[in-house]
Amino acid sequence: MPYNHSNLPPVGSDQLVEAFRRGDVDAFEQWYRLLFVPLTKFARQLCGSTDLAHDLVQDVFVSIWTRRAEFNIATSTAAYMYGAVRRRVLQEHRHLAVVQRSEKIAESTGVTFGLGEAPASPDQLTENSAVRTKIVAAINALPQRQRLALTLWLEHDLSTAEIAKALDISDRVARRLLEKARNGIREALADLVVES
Amino acid sequence: MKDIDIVEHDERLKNEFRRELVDRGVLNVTLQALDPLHAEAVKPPHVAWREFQGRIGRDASAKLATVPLHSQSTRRSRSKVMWSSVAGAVSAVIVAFLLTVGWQSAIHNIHTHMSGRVSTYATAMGQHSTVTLPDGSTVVLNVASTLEVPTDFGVGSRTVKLNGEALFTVVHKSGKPFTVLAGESKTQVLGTRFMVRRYDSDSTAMVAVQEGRVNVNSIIVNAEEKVVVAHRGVISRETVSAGQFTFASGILTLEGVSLLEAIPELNRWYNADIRIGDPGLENEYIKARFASGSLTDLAEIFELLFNARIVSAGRVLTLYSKGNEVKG
Repeated sequence: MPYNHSNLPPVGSDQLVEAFRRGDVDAFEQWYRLLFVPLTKFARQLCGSTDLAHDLVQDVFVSIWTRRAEFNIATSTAAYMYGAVRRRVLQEHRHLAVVQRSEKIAESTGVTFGLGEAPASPDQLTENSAVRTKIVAAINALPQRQRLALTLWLEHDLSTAEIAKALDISDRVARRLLEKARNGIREALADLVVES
Repeated sequence: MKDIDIVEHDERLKNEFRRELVDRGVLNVTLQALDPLHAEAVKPPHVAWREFQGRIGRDASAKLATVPLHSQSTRRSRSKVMWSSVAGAVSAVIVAFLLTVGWQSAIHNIHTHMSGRVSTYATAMGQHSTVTLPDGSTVVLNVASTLEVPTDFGVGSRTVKLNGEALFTVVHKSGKPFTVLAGESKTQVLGTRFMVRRYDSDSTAMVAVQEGRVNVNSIIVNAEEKVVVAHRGVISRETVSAGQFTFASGILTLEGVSLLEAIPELNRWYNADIRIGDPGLENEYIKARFASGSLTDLAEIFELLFNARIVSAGRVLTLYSKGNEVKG
């Protein structure tokens, strides 16, 4: 089960939502603090700007707080929030422009990957950058939807069902996106074995 | 029934895939590549929350007044009294605790912990110990450290409290996060290996991850990363060196710290009382690995490292630069 933002158990989470629907700003604050960082990371992946992501996530929270009495979610609140953030980003930009922009950034930053702490030996350095380059290339080669699904699955620890809700697709499509993304990365890793 | 199977299958697939990436050493690279802007810092939640309050303005304070039963001050002060009377913990723990978990479950946890009994495992200076918890997770306690484990550990949650330093190897339990409270830090994981350090003499808590990833005060920390937690939350995040974890295998690694900073560590490690007789030595830097050993060994190491002369009297070792020692 998710633990980074949904460490409120399903029951606790219902109670939390129930509390802020009644106007309990403390309950809302707990929820806000848990979700703000993961939602911002998700948003910036969609819009290609951390600054813009901050603002858009803030908008979503303001809008939910303002209309809290209508807030009625039967299942995962986290999935709902990711979905709400996604819709807000799409509203901000035309879809195509957003996708192009984030893909361009992915490409440009992909090249500079591998910087950081210098590893112990020169051998390690070559090996690590080779692995990094390969993985970064494999991930950049994935279609945006697969990347999003994989991020929500691995980084944000959502379930397939939650990803389906967040991306507004069917469970079956979500599963297929994840499978393709996994295969893409596995292929890159298999290549590495062959080369070495 | 079928739904449950799908959920379990999904989780199993995820764990397998994570394991594959970890085994190949590419989990971090993968997560970073998925977030091309990962190097840009995200605003800390408490800062964003203040801005949020600014935007909703009067609305929030008006609403706060309508729910006195759940008002912040009532909850916090009540929890604080219970906690400190039993465990003597600082209020920062409570604040950090309440800030990072759902309020409902936080109150629940504090109640059960405090009403239930706690087993305490403690090591003295110079002493190490490995504790196996009821769920099979292990904790290597470094010198002069205390671990509190509630007797109902694993029944509702898996929460322990640490003072000092320890390496945790956590067994995965679906839906039951493992939580370590230490000073102002709250580290939450499912299954992984990481260390937490917070001695009374430290002003901040530190969490370093060896394998997998953990959640520290709502910040995700990946393998080979460490974070420092102060009262105001996580204040730094950087790459961690392997030396950070060697204490669990009986080796104290000091990597480029001044002698002044190193002495408390060495005192705890050797159960010694090392003093600097010559102020000129205070800023000498140490980069060395110390195995568990006798004080005599330590004296030898110092002589070697600093060209120092050691005057020992019982457990007290006083260091002088050669040629500068005070005769007496």
